[in-house]
Amino acid sequence: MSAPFEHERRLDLFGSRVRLLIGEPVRVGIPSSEAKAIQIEFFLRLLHRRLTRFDASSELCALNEDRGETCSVSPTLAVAVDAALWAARRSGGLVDPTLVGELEHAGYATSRANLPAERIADALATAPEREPATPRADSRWSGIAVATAAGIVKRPAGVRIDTGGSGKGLAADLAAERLGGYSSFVVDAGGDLRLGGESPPERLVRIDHPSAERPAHEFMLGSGAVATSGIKTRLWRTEAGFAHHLLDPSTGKPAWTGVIQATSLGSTALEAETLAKMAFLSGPRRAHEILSTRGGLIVLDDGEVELIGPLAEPAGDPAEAVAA
Amino acid sequence: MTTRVGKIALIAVLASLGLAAALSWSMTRGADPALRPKAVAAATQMTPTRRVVKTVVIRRVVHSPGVASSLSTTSATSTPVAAATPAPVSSGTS
Repeated sequence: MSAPFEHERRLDLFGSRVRLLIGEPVRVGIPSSEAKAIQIEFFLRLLHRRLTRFDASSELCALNEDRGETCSVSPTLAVAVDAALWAARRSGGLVDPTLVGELEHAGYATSRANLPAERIADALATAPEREPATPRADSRWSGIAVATAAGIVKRPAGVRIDTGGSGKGLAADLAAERLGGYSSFVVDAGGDLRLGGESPPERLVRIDHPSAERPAHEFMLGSGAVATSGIKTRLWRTEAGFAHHLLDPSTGKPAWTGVIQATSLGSTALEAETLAKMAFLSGPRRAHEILSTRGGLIVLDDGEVELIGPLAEPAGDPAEAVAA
Repeated sequence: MTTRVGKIALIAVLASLGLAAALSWSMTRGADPALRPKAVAAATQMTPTRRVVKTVVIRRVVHSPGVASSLSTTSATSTPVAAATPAPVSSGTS
């Protein structure tokens, strides 16, 4: 199946790059793909403005500054908090949205967009002993409740929320929801991908390698989601050594698990992103269990790539795993 | 005459205050435009001078997806892409 035309739009957002590919409209009365791309850009910028942790005027920062236990929020923020809680539940607390203070302490209090990252090899040479990350014993995140219809977030006093761990996946999913009626689309929110459309063609999906000048893997996919988590682009040096943004919830410090990058497929980008983070944080052995159903891959400290689940099967079809 | 001018001034001040209050309410407690596709659609019908972010539009027909992939700017870039095969996509570290 061919894709005779797609409109492409690129922008810098979410501290990374966003790319939209939108095919031809196949329903009467819907905007051209170019107009739709502009609408989606507008939507994503609104989303970012409300959810960024790095702008004191954002709604998320206002929520975190509010000392009350119950706070009235916009539907956007309510949905984002709900998504963050979904990721926490799905991961058993490994993808924890309450690590704001820990992230700041690790040196991630301001955006690191466009800042050069340190070399992975240098960081690995001095990193602590590798061990899987584990959830916080007190499950701090489980004290958060959200009523999305009413727009109310309730959390223990002083608990701050970071939607960054699930935000790009959610953004890709919400954008994809708005792209019904087009022959094909791709929403690439900083590497969190949603693919689909009314008649989506199979297209090449390339997984970047974090420490080599070659792809870690390539496969074909028409519909579904793919997300990758790792330390390549957010790796910095502190007085205590190297740090990155994927924290072990139990210690509040950067996790060094033996995995430097994990990729997962999923039915939604939120699911794929959550599974990828779980795989990264859990270390090589458990990553195989986590990624076995949807499919994915991990890159180990030494650069070795391990394909998992449907991606590892010679005749495996990633699309079937995503649709399951 | 003075009374008339005073009334006009008062109405203008009240109108300004009302507009400011409505905007403030809309930003904090009002319906959320981010979750209303129609509102987003309406907002994007604005003329370029009313857009918040400057957009650089580059029109070109690209026959090789690889060429399209190399395009990147700090502002938004739009490109119609006609290709024999669907453009590849990549997922890297987020």
